Amino acid sequence: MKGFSAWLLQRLTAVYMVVFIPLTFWIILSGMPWDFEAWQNLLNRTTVQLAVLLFVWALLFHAWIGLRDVIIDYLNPIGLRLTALSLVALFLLTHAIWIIKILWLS
Amino acid sequence: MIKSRPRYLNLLKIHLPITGIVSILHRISGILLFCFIPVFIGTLKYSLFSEITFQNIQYFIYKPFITLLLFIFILVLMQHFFAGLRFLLMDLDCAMDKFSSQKTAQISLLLSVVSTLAIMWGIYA
Repeated sequence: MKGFSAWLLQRLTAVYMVVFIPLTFWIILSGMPWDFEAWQNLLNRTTVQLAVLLFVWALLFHAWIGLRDVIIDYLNPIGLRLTALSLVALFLLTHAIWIIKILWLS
Repeated sequence: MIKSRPRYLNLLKIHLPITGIVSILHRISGILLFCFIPVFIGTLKYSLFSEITFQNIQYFIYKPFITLLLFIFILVLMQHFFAGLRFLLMDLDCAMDKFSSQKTAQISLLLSVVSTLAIMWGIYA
């Protein structure tokens, strides 16, 4: 992914998170104090699960583009740069799968 | 051409304008938030794992060290949030001149502190 599509994806994911984050803070803070059952019920709703999944994936894509820019700016030796990029990609990919397991398989 | 141009960058001697400060803070907070990703997703997992792990989180939140960590996390998140919102605004060609871009930079910093305090108050009060 490069150039305009990366730039656009960075903005689209940002816009989704700009809506999701205040809404989440609002829902959590206005529902306090939480008990386990209410919390579990909230996260068992399909709409909530999909919204959280979309948020985490948006976050991971956003982080990928951001970290990629930082690594390209500051790490010049090509070997070091590719190693760092691979590690970040692997790290983000792991979390992209982990969140599915948390939301639906636990 | 200036003859005695600096041959190295002394970070302590560079004076950044407020817009530059907000910009570099946005980058630093982004890297920090990246480091928080496993903590965030891990906490979500832990909160849904069992009644006991859920209650553990509610208990740990009141430990001073965790409170401090949560404060830093929310401050960093809010800084990134409002600085990012400012950049989105600038993508729409708003606040592009020197005066208004300095104003929005100040406002983004102010809002990040105010919203952090509001959220901390919401959690603990």
